[in-house]
Formats: sequence, structure tokens, C-alpha cells
Amino acid sequence: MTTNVTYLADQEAAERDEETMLQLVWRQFRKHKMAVLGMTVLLLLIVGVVVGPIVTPYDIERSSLRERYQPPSLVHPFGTDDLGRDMLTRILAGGRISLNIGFMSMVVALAIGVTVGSVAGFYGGKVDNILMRFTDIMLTLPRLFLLIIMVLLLRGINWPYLQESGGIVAIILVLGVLSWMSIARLVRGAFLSLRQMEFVEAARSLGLSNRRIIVRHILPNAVTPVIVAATLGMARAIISESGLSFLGFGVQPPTPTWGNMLSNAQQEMLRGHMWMAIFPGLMIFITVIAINYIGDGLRDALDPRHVG
Amino acid sequence: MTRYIIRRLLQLIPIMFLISMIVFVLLQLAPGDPAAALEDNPNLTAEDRARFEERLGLNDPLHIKYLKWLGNTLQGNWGISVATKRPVLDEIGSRLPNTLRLMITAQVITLLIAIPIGIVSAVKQYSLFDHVSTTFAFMGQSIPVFWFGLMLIMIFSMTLKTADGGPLLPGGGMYDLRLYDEATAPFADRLRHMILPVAMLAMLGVGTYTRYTRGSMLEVLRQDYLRTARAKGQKERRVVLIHALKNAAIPIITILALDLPSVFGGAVFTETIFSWPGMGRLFIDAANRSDYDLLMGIVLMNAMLILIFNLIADVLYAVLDPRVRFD
Repeated sequence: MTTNVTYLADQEAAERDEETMLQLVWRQFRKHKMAVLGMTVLLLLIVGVVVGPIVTPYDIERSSLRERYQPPSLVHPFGTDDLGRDMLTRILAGGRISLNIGFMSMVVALAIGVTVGSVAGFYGGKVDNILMRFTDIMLTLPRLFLLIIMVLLLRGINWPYLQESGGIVAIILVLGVLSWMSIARLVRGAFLSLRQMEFVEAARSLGLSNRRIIVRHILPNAVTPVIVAATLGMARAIISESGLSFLGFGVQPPTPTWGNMLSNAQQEMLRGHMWMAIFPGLMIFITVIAINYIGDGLRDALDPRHVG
Repeated sequence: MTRYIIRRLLQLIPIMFLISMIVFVLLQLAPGDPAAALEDNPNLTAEDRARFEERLGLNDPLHIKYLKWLGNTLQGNWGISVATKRPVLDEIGSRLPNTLRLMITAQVITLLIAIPIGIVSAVKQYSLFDHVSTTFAFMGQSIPVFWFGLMLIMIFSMTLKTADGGPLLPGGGMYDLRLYDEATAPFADRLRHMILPVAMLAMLGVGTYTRYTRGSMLEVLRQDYLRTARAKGQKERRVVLIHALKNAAIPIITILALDLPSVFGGAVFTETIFSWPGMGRLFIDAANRSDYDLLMGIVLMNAMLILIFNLIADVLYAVLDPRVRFD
């Protein structure tokens, strides 16, 4: 029995040597059943929101007074809304925007967070102190309050690109600008320990510029925790977008998102049109669980302690 | 320790200063000002408007505006709400207790649910209970809290009925407006009105605290001193609930403090959905009316509460964990 186990372990180790990093991560990731399920659900959702609005027989924005408030049926699986628009069509079109906002705002947050974190961690001292105090302050204030204040601020800026399609770009910027703090802290932590390592010393003695050392030598080693944080951050951004839109400070109708489809949901629900409140929220819930499980699986797969 | 607390309090001053500066600048850049509200008035001439702007100091440069505002604020003059014409501090003062009542109850309920579940999960790691509770905790962290509130209303205020056909639980307000007023509402009625909003707000943290307690307990349960306790012949129950929990619970204090901003955020949704007259709804109303003095006051009050609570948590942490030194 014992020899058998040893043998298997050796074989695994031998095979592992020939695997690329990506294959290794994927093999670990596959072991996390919920993460694989989450990945499947997310892929289906992406296909749905891309293909759905194209193949649907209904229009996203055209209203039809005769078809208002239809409960779910075979013709309208998720019912119709207060203007007689097919809810399923709008949920798929809205999902495209919600997922986009989640992804793009994470890109913005990554750009700021990685920059602030690597500069603070690499240079240390006064720079680090100032940047991290600023990060602390941003974390002290309730995020929702800052989000809303930033939305008010951007509403005053008359840059058309910012406000078109219900202000999608404005929301992406606001969410990105207020979500970089945890990433900055992670990157800074990684940099603080990595900058003492010998390979950095070696790069320095070769006369490489600070910028090159940061970008090409240290950053690739700090990427693992950032991937996980970015995944979980995307889930959080989707929830934040829906919350902002629910309160009326997000993407403005008629452009649909899962959040602003819920902005009248409370009144509609109280009038008995419950499907209008159930489905958009359910979509957010399913998407966020799926992404969170993917993040969980990635953490397990990327953490070197779990390998083997 | 007194010196430590005093030093920490002094450190709060520059932080508050910075926070106020950031929020002040952001709000100054936001569109709409008190003079714009007068624009609809046809009797107002351009000179009137100029005089008005002059009196309010609307044409001053930014740093002068900030210094004026700072001077006023330090003297307890936080400005006037444009919408209600009442002083900002009065507005906040009348709403803050409602928010705190909601938040404190919700946090207590959160801990009462999350800590026992976390302990059992850790003690019986990888059991069915552990798997189920971990899955639920994960779902709790993924649910949009405002949608959860809507679903609570749908189930408990609309679908389920009492014997006489009324809703099982009230879906809004602090007491029954048809029967009572602020002074006469009985305790039982107020309690009934708290159930759903508290459940919604508690949901925000249950998942996080369950996972956290579980993780913290798992770490402590491996420690040698617990083996010692068992070797002395202590009952398992006592080992877990007294020896282990005492140390596992300390980090939760930090999480409670760090989590406070998100609870304030959650309260905004709870108060909006359940028509709860608290500070969160006041903030949303103020944002919708470009009532910037009021917005500023609410953010400042929140920041102060959060910073003071953080300080209390730090001190408490050091008191409970003798390894942490005051220096």
C-alpha cells in the first residue's frame, strides 16, 4: 500500500515536470467542483448575454401597452415589465452590460491598485507611508457614500462619452476608482517581501532601471494573489453596480442593467408583479456566486501550498 | 494605556482633517449649488442672485471656502439643509439613533448566529454540517443585500398572512402609523417592525462572520495548550467553549471594526427599502436633492463614528491579548 502511494506520487511528480504552469493550475482548479460549476455557469451566462439579444424576437426598448405586466408564460418566460417589454430579453441585454461593467471596472481598479501598490512597496519609506495612509482613509469611509458622491460629481461633467448609454462609462470609472484599495495593499505586501530577494539584487546589479525591475521582475511574482482578488472584486463590482442602480445612482434607463431593472421593483412587487422583482435579482445572485466560487477555486489552485 | 489612547486620539485629528478635505473638494466639484435652486424664481434679478452668491461666499476660491467651512464646522455650525431648512446637526441627530438601533441589533444577531455555527463547523471540520454551513455562508456573501430585503418583504409581508388576513410581518416603517404615533407606539409593535430590517441587515454579515469564526477556531484548535487542557481532564465542551473560543474570538473584534463602513452602507439599503427614518435614507434624500451641507455632515459623522470605533477595537484588542503592547 505504502509503496503504491509513493509510486503514484512519483509518477505524478514526473508528469508535473512536463506540465506548463497553466496546465498545473487547471489540474488543481478542476478538483474544486464548485469552482468548475461556477465556471460552467459563467460561460453559459456569457454565451446567453452575447447570443440572446441577437436571437430574441423581442425588442429591448420598444414598449407595447397591450402586453404590460404579463406574468411568466411560454411566450414570455420571465414575464413582461411595466412597459410591456419582454423581461428575458432585457435581462440578457442587461446582463451584457452588468458583466461588462463588472469586468471593466476591475480593469480600472487593477491599473490603479497595482500602480499604487508597487510604487509603495518598491520605494518604501515616505512614499509608502503617504500612499498607504491615503489607502487607509479610502477604506475608512463607507464605500457606498463615496460611490454616490462620485456619481453626483461625474454627472456635472459634460463629456458625452461619459454619459451616453445611460452613463455606463461613468459607472465603470466610479467603481474602478473606489475599488483599488485592497489590490494596492496586496501588491504592496508582495513587493515588500520580494524586493529583498536575491533576484532583485541581481537585476539591480545588472543596472536595470527601477521601472524595469518593477514591471518585468517583481510584478510577475506578485500576480497570483492579484488574480484572486480581481476575480472576487469583479463579483463585488457587479453587486455594487446593481445596488447603485437600484438606488437610482447607477446606469440610467432605458439602458437595462440587472440593477436598474430592480429600481422600480419594490413598487411593482407591492402591486403584485412579483416576477419583476425576482428574476433580475436572481441573475445577479447566480452570477456573483459563480464568480466567487471561481475565485475560491483559483485561490486553491494558485496557492503553492496546495500543489501536489 | 491612557497615553496610548491619547496618542491615538491625537492621530485621528489629521485623518479627520484629510477626510473632510477630500469629501469637501469632491462635493464642491459636483454640479448644482444653492444659487441654482433660486433660478426658477422669476422675480429674482441678476443683482439679487449676485448678492445671494456673495453672501453665501459662492465665488470664493476653493481653499477659502474650505477654511470658512472648517471654521464653522469646528464651532458646531454644520450648515443648513437646503431641503428642510433645519440645521444639519439637528437633522443628523434626529436620524442617528434610529440607524444605530438598527445596526447594533443586527450586529448582535449576526454574531449570535455566526459564532455558534462557525464553532460547530470548525470542531466538526468536513462534516455534513460544515459543508452545508460553508455553502450557506458563501451564498450569504454573494446575495445582493437589497434584493434579499425585497424577497423578505415578498415572503413575510405579502405572501404569508396572519389569521386575520393581515401581513405576517410589517414591511416598512418603525411602528404602525395608522394606530400610533412616535410617543404611543407600544414596544411589541416596534419590535415587530424591526424583525425584517434587522434580518436583512444581519444577512450582510452572517456569511463573513461564520467563515471567519470557523477559520479562527480551526487555527486555535491545533494549538498545544488545548492538548494540555484535555490532558488535564477538562471536558471537551469546556475545552472548546472556554479555552479555544476565548482566543479565537479576539480577532473578531477587529473584523467588527473593519466591517463598520459596510454596515453603514448596508443600512442605506435597509432604510430605503423599509422606509426606516435613519441616516442612510437621509443620505439618499440629500443626494437626490443636491443638499451638499447635509451630505457633508453625514459623511463626516460616519467617518467620526468609524474612526472612534476602530480606536475602541484596537484598545480592546490590546486589553484582551496581552501579547499586544501599547507602544
